[in-house]
Amino acid sequence: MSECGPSRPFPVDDATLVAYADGMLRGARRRRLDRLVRGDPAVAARAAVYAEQRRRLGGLRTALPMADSVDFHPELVAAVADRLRRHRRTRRLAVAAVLALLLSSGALLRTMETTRPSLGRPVATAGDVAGHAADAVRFQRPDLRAFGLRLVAEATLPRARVPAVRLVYEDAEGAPVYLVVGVVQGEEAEAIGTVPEGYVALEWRRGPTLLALVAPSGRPWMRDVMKEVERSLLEPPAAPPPGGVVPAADGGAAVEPPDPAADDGGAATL
Amino acid sequence: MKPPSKRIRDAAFPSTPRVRPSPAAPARAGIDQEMIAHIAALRRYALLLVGEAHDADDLVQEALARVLARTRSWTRVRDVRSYLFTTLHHVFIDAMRRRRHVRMAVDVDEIVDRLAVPAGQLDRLAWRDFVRALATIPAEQREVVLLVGMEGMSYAEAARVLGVPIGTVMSRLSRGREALRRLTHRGAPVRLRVVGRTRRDDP
Repeated sequence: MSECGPSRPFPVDDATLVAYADGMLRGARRRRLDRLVRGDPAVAARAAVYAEQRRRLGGLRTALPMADSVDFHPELVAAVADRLRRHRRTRRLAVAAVLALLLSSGALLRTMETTRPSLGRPVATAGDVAGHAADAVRFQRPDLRAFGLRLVAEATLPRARVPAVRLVYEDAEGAPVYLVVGVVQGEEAEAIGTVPEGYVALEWRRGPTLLALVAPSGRPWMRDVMKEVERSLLEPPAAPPPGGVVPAADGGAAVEPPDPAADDGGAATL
Repeated sequence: MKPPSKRIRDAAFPSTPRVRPSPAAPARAGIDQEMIAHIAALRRYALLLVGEAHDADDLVQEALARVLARTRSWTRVRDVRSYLFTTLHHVFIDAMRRRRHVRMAVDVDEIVDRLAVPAGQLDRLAWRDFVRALATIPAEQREVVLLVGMEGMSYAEAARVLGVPIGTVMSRLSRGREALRRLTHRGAPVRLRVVGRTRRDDP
């Protein structure tokens, strides 16, 4: 407003004057501004500045022709195609992740009947699956208390494709840890298809025995537990535990005594 | 050269059938061609927005990728230019939020070096001042100033592109242009006059 001096307010606001200079005003408003510009040199001067701005802004179109856009097209096409491929791949991965999540929640319900094992719930013994395997494997319930894991439940998995048992432990944080042991006769490779969200599975095979340790992710003892389980698998106990009670199921779990015919004193015969 | 649009489509959606042309919607191929016709404008706008050619091209590529990714369900686009600039605006906003790919300081020299203006020193300096002033104003004002002033959009079209009311466009535009005026206004030409006596005037 300096052109007008301090005593007289500028007779038109900048938004209107810009619109006038840009040719956006029509009808009575335009005629009014025409009169104002003719009669007031200060308004005319500012309108001229805005008109010059408009001319220069429009001139940028020719001043910046971006002539290399023609050469840019092939690069653009390649880049856009690459981005689209990545978008599609990301979308496919996202869909796969959602499907896996859905499947895992369903599979979890099917294959893990007790995600939160109850101490008072009666469970079957590992011996229930005895007789299904061509090569019997001696397997002792691993005592994993050294890792803060206590056995709280065990169950056969009647709907599993192969004879299998599942031992449920609880770690120091109260999270369930699953040890699934199955016996295969062919080339079955997977012990467990999916794991619950936030869990990881460590699967391995020893002869006809498939083992899977499923634990919350980030647990540091996975490998050590695996070794301990291996020892349980390969080294049958010399003597049965007293009374045939499942040794690691402390906390008052009502675990059925193993069947002496199938369970050689704490060692399940698969 | 093979039409880029087909290459993009084939690479992206090999099994996607072409969109049938209809009176209400231009054919996909037509849209692609029109899109290509706007690439230079998009790149110019992006360059003046972010001030660096690679960042600008990144924005344009991302915008075009988004547009093409949506064209499978693209049945009615009445104004391809507005649609492209709207997408570019959204990409720019996203980039500003991330502040990862976009430098917020416009490189005036890079833009001035690209200017195809007459070689006159004064004119070049004037352009430099103008671009520098343009780079100084806030991005939201610069967007409106460029869309209306450089691209020649109406206020309504600029409002659609930016997703704001027309009143906001006018407000941002007037503030941006006023700022430009203050930054570039040099006032009346300086006149020199002799205030002392010259040697020749000495007795």
